Amino acid sequence: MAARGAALVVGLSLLSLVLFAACRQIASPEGWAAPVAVDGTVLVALERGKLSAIDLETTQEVWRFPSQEDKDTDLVALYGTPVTGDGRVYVGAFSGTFYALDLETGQVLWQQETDGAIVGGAALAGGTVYVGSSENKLYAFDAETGAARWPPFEAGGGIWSTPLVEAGTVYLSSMDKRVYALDAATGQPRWSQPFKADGALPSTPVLAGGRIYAGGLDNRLYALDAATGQVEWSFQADNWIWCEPLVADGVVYVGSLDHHLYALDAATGEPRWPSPFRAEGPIRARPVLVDGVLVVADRSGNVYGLDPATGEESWPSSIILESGILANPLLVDSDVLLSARNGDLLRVDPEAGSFALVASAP
Amino acid sequence: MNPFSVFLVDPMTNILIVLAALFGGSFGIAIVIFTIMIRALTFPLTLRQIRASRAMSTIQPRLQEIQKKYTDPKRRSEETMKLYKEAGVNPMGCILPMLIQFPIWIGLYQTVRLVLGSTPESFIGLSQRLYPFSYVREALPLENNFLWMDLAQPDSTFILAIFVGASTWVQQKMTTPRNITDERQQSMSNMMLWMMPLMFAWFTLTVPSGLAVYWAATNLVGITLQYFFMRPAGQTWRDIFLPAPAAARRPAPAHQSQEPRGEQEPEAAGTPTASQSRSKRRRSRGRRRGRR
Repeated sequence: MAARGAALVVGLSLLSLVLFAACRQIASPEGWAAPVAVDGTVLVALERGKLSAIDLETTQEVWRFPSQEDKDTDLVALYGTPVTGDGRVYVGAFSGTFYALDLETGQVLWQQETDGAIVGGAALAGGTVYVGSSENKLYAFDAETGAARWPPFEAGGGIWSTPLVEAGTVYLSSMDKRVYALDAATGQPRWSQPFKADGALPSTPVLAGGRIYAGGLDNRLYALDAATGQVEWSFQADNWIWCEPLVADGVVYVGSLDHHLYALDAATGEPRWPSPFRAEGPIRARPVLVDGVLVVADRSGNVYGLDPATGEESWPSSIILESGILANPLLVDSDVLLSARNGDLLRVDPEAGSFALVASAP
Repeated sequence: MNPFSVFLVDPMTNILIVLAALFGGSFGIAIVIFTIMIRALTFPLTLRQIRASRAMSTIQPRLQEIQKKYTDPKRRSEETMKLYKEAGVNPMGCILPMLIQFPIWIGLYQTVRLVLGSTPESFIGLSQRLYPFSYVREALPLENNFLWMDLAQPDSTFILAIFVGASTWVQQKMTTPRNITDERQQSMSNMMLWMMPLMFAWFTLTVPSGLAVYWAATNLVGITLQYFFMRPAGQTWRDIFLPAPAAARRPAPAHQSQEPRGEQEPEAAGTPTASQSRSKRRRSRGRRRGRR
């Protein structure tokens, strides 16, 4: 009887541990900050919640934020792509804190608390850095001091995208299904009313040819008139469009979580390829066009080289990585840098369709 | 393709999202309603399991006698089967309903985890499970704020932890037999009575509160069903909260019936006729109470 009791207790304890482990998985954000290159250094999150500066020539780590000695700073995870300017790096953390770091040393110059987790990246323009939080607010900080330029703009839902700043206007897509255009200097709305989609808008908007392109959870990619916010056309995929579109030569290339990459006419939204390109996994990372090859990576870890005119594969075979890609790629000297989910930083040669490991998580 | 996901988790996920959309996008309300729905659907199985387990507990003293009396495993097995047959008890009756319900509970738990979408990655994972209906897809993300809680974050106020712990204790207390005669069994039962609530209270402090809302809801539904449909006749709230009577805790002679208090009927326990008539009476009492 005692043995049965002990077995029961051990069994229940094991069950509890499994249950607890399963529960803990929920609250483990990984992050998908895209790498950024500046002066031969690439800023990348090799390790969860840590930003590393890697010398591209030596592949040595120059600094890491937070440093190993700093036990008090916990970024939790990094989703937003860092932005650089005037010798500083601006990065928002999932913990809700926004940091300005010294580009040379990684030391904190200033930091500001926001109301919620930061999922989108920051935009830097005219001495102001703009960043949204998942608690519905867009912040405008003085790039040098971190002081608020204007009271936070409040949207009706979380802001998971990176604001787009162009010609004194901040374009902002939000999870409240709206796209806003705000005066960059004051935060006041520029359009008579924001554009409203049928689904939440987590994807970062792109401006090209006077149109704003933004994808949403209603499976649609919208093309809006940047001046008025009126919809010019929309295209429907079979699943959410979370991918930041790439606009080149009058074509919009956009991936969807339905595993397809679409090529659409930028003016009309009509498909340019006979059929969309089908990847193995959902596509969240923005495609890049380099030397006539369209490089696209999916969440399953496949990297494809495509002919941008037809959507057919250019490489003899796709690259299969150990880990999936959710972060946007980075173009460096005709090579494509990819940050994988397991922390690997990889360099892809778009001409040969080969890849090499640059750095990996320590 | 994982059949468990395709046939259980995915449909549950989509239903949960539709429910949330119907209730103004509130994930908290959707969790509560969905839990009630699932518990109601599996109620016949729960009922069968409890009845089978009661019947088993009725013949426990005679089973113990057989264990002591026969040393030959073959004879012991034969006598045990004979007793089961005589008493009209199916030993699988306890296990089978539980086995059927278990995947449903796991599915419900996984569904809550999935739809919670507390990280952007989990949100992308969720997109692969949604049905191609615009009503479902456009409903996301759901409103994570419920009462005082952010369902994607652990509740730091201790209110939910206390509630989950207390409701687990009550449910545990209601399902624990009150007349355990074996001291070791009694101490193990006491340990479980306190260990489970404390464990779940601690989990509540560390996991997103959406899951804890699910635990609280499932406990509340369980307590309600238990009280109105499955409690031993004559048992009141007072009996549940008060310690078991001293007499019940004293070691009883092996031949004495271990039937729960209030269920002891004048008929001889264990005979098929007595068992069946008791079962009928219990059902009619349950229905009357339920209508009040």
